[in-house]
Formats: sequence, structure tokens, C-alpha cells
Amino acid sequence: MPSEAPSTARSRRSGAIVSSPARWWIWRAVFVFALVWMAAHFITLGALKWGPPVRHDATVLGQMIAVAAFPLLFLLAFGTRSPLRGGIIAGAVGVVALLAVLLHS
Amino acid sequence: MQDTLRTRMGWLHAWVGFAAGLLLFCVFASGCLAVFDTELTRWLQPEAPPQTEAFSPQSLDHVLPAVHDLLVQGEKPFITLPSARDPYLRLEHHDGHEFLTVPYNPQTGERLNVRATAGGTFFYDLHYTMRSGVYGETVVAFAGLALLLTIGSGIIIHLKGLISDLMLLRPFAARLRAWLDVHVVAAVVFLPFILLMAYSGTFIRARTLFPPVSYFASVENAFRASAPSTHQKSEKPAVSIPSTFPPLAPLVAEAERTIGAGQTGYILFQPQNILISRTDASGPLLTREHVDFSPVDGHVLRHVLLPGAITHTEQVLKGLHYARWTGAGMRWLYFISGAMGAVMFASGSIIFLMKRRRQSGERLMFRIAEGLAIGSVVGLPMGALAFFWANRLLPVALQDRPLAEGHVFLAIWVLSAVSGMVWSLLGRPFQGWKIQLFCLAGLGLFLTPLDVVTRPGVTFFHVPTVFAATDLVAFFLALVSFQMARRL
Amino acid sequence: MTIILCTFVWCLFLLLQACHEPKMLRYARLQKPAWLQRAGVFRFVLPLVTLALCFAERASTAVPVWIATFSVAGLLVALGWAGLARYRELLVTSANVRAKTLGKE
Repeated sequence: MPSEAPSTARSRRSGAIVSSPARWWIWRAVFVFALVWMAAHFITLGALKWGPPVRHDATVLGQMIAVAAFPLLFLLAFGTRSPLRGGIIAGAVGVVALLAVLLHS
Repeated sequence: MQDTLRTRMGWLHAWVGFAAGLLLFCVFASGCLAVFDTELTRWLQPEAPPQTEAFSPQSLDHVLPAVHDLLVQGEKPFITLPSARDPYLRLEHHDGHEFLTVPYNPQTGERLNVRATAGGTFFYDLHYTMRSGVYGETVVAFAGLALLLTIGSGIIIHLKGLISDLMLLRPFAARLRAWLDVHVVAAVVFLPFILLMAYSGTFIRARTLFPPVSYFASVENAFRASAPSTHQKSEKPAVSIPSTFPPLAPLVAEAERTIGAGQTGYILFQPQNILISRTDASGPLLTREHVDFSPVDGHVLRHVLLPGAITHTEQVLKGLHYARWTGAGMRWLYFISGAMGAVMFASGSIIFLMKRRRQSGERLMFRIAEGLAIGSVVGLPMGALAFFWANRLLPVALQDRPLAEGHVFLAIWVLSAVSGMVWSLLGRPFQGWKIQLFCLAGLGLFLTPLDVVTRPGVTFFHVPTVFAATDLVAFFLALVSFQMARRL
Repeated sequence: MTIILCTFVWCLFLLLQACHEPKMLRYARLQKPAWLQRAGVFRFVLPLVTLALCFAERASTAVPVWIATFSVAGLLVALGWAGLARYRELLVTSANVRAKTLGKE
């Protein structure tokens, strides 16, 4: 069980100003999450338009792709050094998925 | 902390992993119990003898009055035919949480006098809904997505040592190192299984996350549905339930001509038809192919087999996830893999806490997190064992017995979580871990004596070994938790 | 029976693999045996043997059985190797203690 250090231990660097990017990563993760979620949603919706003619098959295909795409896209967008580039990647996929929904209707 | 790919992935892995990991521990632990749901039901109904006579299709007709009663109550009853895994004829229906089953003698169709129990499917419901209906299903599916993210980030972090550290386990090294090794071995060695379960599980429940309708339309529909719709209801024609059903033996024989000899598994009764369905044990392709009969005169209505590559892919994913096609050996492999998945989450959560204890051990959020970890990692197994204890100790004649078993499970789980939280908030988390681990060890250790004392007609050597296997697994769990508590 | 056989062959493969990993050898305080140099490439035949065994049993379930037995074998080898390393460590420690005692005398 967790017993690496006594629970009363104080910070080793108390007083020193440590600039951690972790706080900024939270917002980046939330931003990427929103973009990727929308992309996955549009993929599911779009599958009904560009997927197989049978509704059940189209839904299943869309969900299969969405569930696989979500983590891949998230890791890709969150993994890039530049947050802007990550946002552009996720956003571009979302826009393409949205266009696929709109253009087929 | 530098902003590199590895640190970003490490941060994501730690926080998403811990946030979802406590829930996913419960999902994996209950999932590996659900693999043996039928066997556990047999343990939970010890009055049914371990061995029984051969199946006679004529016995099915003796179950029909009970089927009729359930239909009148508005249930959807079905009969599970005897198989190598379970020799009884079982009448089952879903009570909103689990499948309640009543066993019948497969030769005579006589009802066996057994205790009412939530059965092994209790863990199945717990696995995918956490007993919270569609909301729980959504949360579990969401945790599945988080798991996929955690797996991906974990692979990126550990890419360099993926092969070289595959079997590197150093239990006698420093504590953090030892837990890291346990985490890595459980995660990397069982990665194919965990990845398959994460993807197929999330996909199976994807309708809750990614419904094939626009969110705007969903919101609109939600408001529209709230308006009273009595007019629509009255238009629906009421389907009458036939007072008698045709003999089932010829129907099963007819279905077997289409589906294949020995391939029928379930007979589902609905007011408008009787569905005889392919057994899930026939293979990893969970086709659920069925032949429908008229409930009035028994003539064939239709044969349903969904075609198409995408449907087959879906069926394979479901088949691999549910593992109903497996024999005893493969079932054990699923069980071990599921248990190692749970170990992965437990060790990951412990590492998360260990790494942050020095810096944040005094913070309220840390203490709450540790309390939750105690409640999840030790509380769920304790609740599961308490469920088995309740099954044997609650009076057989108790009203709503299956519900009472579930309540005991939940009560112990909540008690464990609250106690863990209190110890953690008091600044003595190790006391919390220790006490609960000793309690878990006690519950597991004394399950075998309880089984021996409360099982009618107990014999030590018999086939099949559902009782011995359950008791031994509980005993093993007790030993592990005792050893962990001792080493704290 | 196939499951047990496959697990055994996987264990054999993973043991040979462990013997090729310097980190694993260092951990167990072992030297790489000379005969392993020649057997190096041949160890990769063993996974194919297990796959063939699984296919011979039942083609439709071969891959899940193959993968699941790999995982269980991995766990067994990891536990076994940890035990071996502990045994070797105790052996070396006690030998060192004995040597020190003899030196003092």
C-alpha cells in the first residue's frame, strides 16, 4: 500500500517558485476533449449518410469508428508540442466529419 | 516539469487513469466474476444437486404454467436449455437488474426447491451499469473511453521498455519500484486482453456516448417526450397472452432443423411469438439467430439471421467480450486476465497516491482520494464476499431475498468506503488499509467453512467443482490480502 | 489440454526471451549461456507452434486462445523469474557473508 513517505512530509521545495505546465495542460485537455468529442459525434452521425444503406449497420460502423478514433485523435492532438497544431488536427477531423454529414444530406 | 511528449502523456496517464481507474477496478473485478455467472448461480443455489439426469425435451412443457404466470405479470420469460456448463433447465426473467433464475429437473420438468437469489448475474449488472441503470451504463462507457486513452498514453510512456521489461517483476525491491513493476507486468503482459475488453466494452455501450442522432435533436426529443402522450398509448393494440402454449418439444426439433442439432440455447416467450434462439456457446460469433413460432398453434413464423460484414464484426466483438462460447479453460483465462486488469488499476491507483503523498499528503483532496481508493480496491471485494455470506446466512423464506442480498453487498461496500474515508481524513490511512484488508482476509478465509456448514448434502469430492473453485478463489484472495496487510 | 500445452510452449519461449534480455539476466545475476547464441533465432518458432496448436484445436477461437495463453505464460514466467532472482540473491548474499567470515578467521 502507499507508504513511500510519511503523510506529514512537507514540500521539499517550499519557497521555490516552480512553474509547472500541468495547470495549463488541464485546459488544453478540456479543449482537445471538446474538439475530439465533436469529431466522434459527427462521425457517428455521418455514418448514417455515407455508411451502408441499412441503418443498423451504418450506426454500428459509425460507433466502431468513433470509439476507435476518439482515443487516437485525443492522443494525437494532446501529444503535439504546439497546442495550436493539436487543435488544428482535431478540429480538421471534426470539420471533415461535419462536412460529410452536411454534404450527404 | 518539462513540456515533452512523455511528460504530457505521463500527466494524462496519471490523472485520467486515477480518476477512471477506481471505477474501472470495480468494472474489471465484477467482470471477471461475471465470466462465471452461471457457475456462481449454482454456488448460490446449493440445494440443486451438482449432477442431474439427461435432458428430455418433453420436460419443457412442465415449465409452461410458470412461463404463463410471468407473461401475465408483464415479464419476458425465457427458458435456458441444459448445456455442458449448466445441466439444469432454467426459467429466467430480468427483474430490471439481474436475471432471476429458477432451475427445473431437465428429465421430468419438476421445479427444484432452491433459495431465491440474485445469482451470478448480479455481478454482470454491476459490471456494466454499477446497478444504476442507463446513467451507470453511460458512466461505465465513459470510463471505457478513459481506459482507451490511458492505455494509449501508457504505451507511449513505456514504449522503450515494452519488450525488455515485459516480465521484469521485482517484488522485493523498494516499494514504489515493486508496485511499478506489478503495474507494468499486469498491464503489458495482459495488454491484448485489456485493449480488447476496453474497445469492445466501450463499443457495445457506444449508444449511450455516441447516439446516432444529433444532440440538439436528443434535447428536443427529451422535452417533447415530457408532454403527456395518452392519446398515442391508447392507439396501441393490446396483445393478448394465449392461455395455453403448444408443446415445445416439436418446436425445438423444428428449430434444430434450421439452426443445427444441439445448437438451440434459449426459448423466449412473448405474447405474439415464441423465439427459439441459437445458444451463445456455439462460437465467438454471437449471432442470436432465432426461429419464431406462433404461440397459438406453433407454426413457424420466420427465421431471423442478420447478414452483413459489419453485423458480423459487431457479433464477433460481442462474442469475444461476453465469452459465452468458451469452455472451462478459456473461462479461467478470461478470469485471470480480468483479475490482472483489476490488479493493474489497483496498483496504478496506489502508485498515483504514493508519488503524491510527500507533496500533497496533507491536502483534503488527497485524503478523499485515498479514502475512495480504499473503498474501491478493498471495498468491492469485501462487498462481493459479503454477498456470498448473505446468500448463505439470510433466511431462505425472506421476502425479496435477491434484493436483500444486493442490499448487503451495497451496505458493506458503502461501509468500507466511509470507513476508509474516515481513516484517511483522520490522517491514518494505513490503519484504514490494514483493517479492511484483514476484514477481507477474514471474509475470504471463512467462506469455505461457511459453505461446508450451510450447503445441504455436502461432499468434498464431486464433479463439477463449482463449490470447491469458488471457495478456493476466496481462500486465495484471503491469503493475498492477509499478506498485504501484514507487509504494510 | 491445448490451453495447458500452449501455455507451456509460450513459457518456454518467454524464458528464452528473458535469457536474451541483459536486464533480466542482470536482475537474476545470471550469465547468458553460450548455447543460447545459436538457439537465438529458433525461439521465434515457438509462438508459431502455439498458434498451430490453437488452430488445430478450433480455428474460430484460435487467436483468442493464443493471446490469452501468452498473457498467462508471461505472468507465470514473471513470477518464476522473480522467485529465481530472489533465490540467487539470497544465495549470493549468503556466499558473500560466508566468504567474509572465512576471511576474518
